[in-house]
Amino acid sequence: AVRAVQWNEALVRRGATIVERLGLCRSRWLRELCLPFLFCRGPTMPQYQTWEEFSRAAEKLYLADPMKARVVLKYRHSDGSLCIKVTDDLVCLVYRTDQAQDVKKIEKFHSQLMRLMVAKESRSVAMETD
Amino acid sequence: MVLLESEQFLMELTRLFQKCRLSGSVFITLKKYDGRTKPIPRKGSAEGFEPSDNKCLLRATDRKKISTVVSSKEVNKFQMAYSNLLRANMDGLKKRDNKSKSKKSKAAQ
Repeated sequence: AVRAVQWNEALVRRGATIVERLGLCRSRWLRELCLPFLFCRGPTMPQYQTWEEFSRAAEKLYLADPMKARVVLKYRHSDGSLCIKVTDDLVCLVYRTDQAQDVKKIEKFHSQLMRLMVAKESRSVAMETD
Repeated sequence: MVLLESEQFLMELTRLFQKCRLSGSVFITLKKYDGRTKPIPRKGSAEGFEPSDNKCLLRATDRKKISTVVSSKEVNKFQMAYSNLLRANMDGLKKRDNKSKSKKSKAAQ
């Protein structure tokens, strides 16, 4: 039998500590914070191993609701690592890399999203995935 | 959070990257922006606010925060400069040793 609900355990644990510390009403916490995560059927923060999968999923997430989604880039020169995250505050897609060849792909993707955001709705610019 | 003009934002962003070469992270956030300058009121309706469709908000930070708004009019010029900036500054990643090296040296130009 398939479980109808998958608990996001780490979140529930964290939430419980926050509730204790702030003395929040437990039922309100459950309703407002927990419910969206309690009913998700899978991981809410997948890390992608291939660029193609990430860019396809990220583009879909953005197009689902352009006003909600945001793109975050984190670059650490000291570690030689670059991380791109696309999220709408419910789902969070992450791609990390330490390869120079990914910089161009990530930068291009970033620019394409920027163009999508400033384009007027009537004529939407088509995204090239690869 | 300092709101800058696009050109100044690019200059400050270069400075951020240079400051963080030895340690620290540079975060860049990109989000679609509808031009609102007042927060959405909880009760009642938003007063006569016309959402504009053609802008995006760019933020960058490494503890010090800067931001800029890019609209469709400036996006072409801005994007070229911005792409070059990113590629020039995010150069600390590992390069592959095999034949794709020649492809990368073409891209670097």
